[in-house]
Amino acid sequence: MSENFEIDGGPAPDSPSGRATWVPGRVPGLTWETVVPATPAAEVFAAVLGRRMARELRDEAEQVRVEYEPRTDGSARIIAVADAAGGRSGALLGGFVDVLAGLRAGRIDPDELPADASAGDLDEPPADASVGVTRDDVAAVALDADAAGLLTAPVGTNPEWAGFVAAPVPADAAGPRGGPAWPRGSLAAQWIATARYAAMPLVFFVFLAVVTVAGATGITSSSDPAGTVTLVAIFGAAAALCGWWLWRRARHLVF
Amino acid sequence: MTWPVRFAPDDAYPQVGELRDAVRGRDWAAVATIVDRLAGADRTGLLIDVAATPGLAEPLGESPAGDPTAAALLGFHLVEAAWTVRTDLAAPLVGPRRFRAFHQGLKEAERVLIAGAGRRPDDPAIWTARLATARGLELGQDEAWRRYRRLAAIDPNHLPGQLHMLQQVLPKWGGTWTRAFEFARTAMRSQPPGGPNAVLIPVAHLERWLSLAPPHDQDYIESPAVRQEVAEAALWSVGHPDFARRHGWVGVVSAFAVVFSLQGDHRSAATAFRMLGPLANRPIFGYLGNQPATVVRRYRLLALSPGAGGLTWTNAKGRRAWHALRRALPLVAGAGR
Repeated sequence: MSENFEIDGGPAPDSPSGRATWVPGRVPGLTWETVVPATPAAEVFAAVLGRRMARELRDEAEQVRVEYEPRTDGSARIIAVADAAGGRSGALLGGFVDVLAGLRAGRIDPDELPADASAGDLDEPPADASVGVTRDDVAAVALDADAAGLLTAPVGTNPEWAGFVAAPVPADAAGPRGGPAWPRGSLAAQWIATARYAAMPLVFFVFLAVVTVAGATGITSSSDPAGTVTLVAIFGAAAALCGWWLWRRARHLVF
Repeated sequence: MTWPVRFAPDDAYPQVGELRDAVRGRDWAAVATIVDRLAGADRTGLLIDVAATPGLAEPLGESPAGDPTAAALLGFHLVEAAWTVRTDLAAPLVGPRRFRAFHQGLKEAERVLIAGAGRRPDDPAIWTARLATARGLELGQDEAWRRYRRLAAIDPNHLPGQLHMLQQVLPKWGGTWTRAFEFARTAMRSQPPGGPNAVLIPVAHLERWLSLAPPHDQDYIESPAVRQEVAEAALWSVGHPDFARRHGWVGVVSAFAVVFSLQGDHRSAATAFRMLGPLANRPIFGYLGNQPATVVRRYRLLALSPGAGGLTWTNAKGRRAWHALRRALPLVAGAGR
């Protein structure tokens, strides 16, 4: 995992991966989840992450918790949770970004790695598999974990400044991409509201078209061809403008 | 009295030109040698001055990865480039396209700086640049304070970072006047006399002056309380025998020259102008008009003319016209940038 990663060279760690994604959260705290291959290095990474968050976010976070869960398919899920202290959500997010950046850069002290308790005892293999994990191994896991990570950002924050991209919204929950958290209310109510808003330009357009046709018919019966042309032109232009304007306002809800 | 006005930092600090040439020549060993001669705020100031040169993104992009100096230089350079796109106009006058490009540039800078801080969290220049990105990207007061705390843990009196933080705590960036003056006063008192950090006091008063409509702005800057505080700050810094002409001293003396000139205290201003000679700081004199060279010449002439004490600029009509123009195009020449 670590062969193509160099701490002091190579372009890899220069920018956070473009694949790290985020979704807006509803609480002042943050949650970060990732899936990595279940290796001793990944376990050490989770432990270092937990200690690092507790140390570097002590002013920003009230409570910090990191869990490492191996799964049956050979991968492991790492989940980090931090609650913002005193409503400092922005600082909590910034501090967390810096914790991850430090680990990606391989800035890990030797005493943060598991000590080799059985050093010198060559006959017996170390009881703890994580002994022997190096700084580079942990940094490589950090890179993978960051790229696969999904951040639930503290409410009111947008972590795109740190390179996170908005996670794709499921097709059945069409809404403003990367926007604020969902408003309160049931999903069905939200869907109806959204659909109604998105259909508005169409409704207006049909209404204006009907009015135009009706008006034109009325004038045609009074046998005034010049007036008909003028009226149709005026109504048509008005309808087009109205439709275009409404479309501009609402199209982000459709696409 | 038609001396030249020298705004270029090269005229005050020879190492600026040296470092710029080294960066352009991609001579990273020379860059390290020049930068390592300085430390702390002097080093940060040098990096800021060099990074303001246009067209450095290309050579800096070729620097060896993991070089904290290059990361800081590139970060400052991208911030400067982004702010050039934004212009110094007040936020409502900047168009949406400019704002998008501005934010895009700052995000690019921030990514360089995040990686830089990840490798070298003890580099005060990187945290100073990250105060500029936090402000431009509007990451909020709490995130800016977190970055400032990181900076202050490395160097509690880091003036380039304090100038950015002062902007952050001003009302125009989401702070309050109380907090801004509290910040400036604390920064002044927390360093021994003779240091440059008292410059935050005249800068804060200049910002307050700029925010007021005439005639309240003139009443404010001429009020006894402001006069006394600025005079004390001058005695604490530029007027102190221990004041050293370290990197950034031109900006410090310029700020006092500007405020004394505005107060009509041409005798005190003359002391500052004599220290400066032909040198001046463009953003600081930019507070008084968008032709800073003319501003320098005018106030220098008023201060250094024989019998300057009796000579005051009382062209009220012209001043009103200037204030009307300033309200229309509120130039917020950021002293911290």
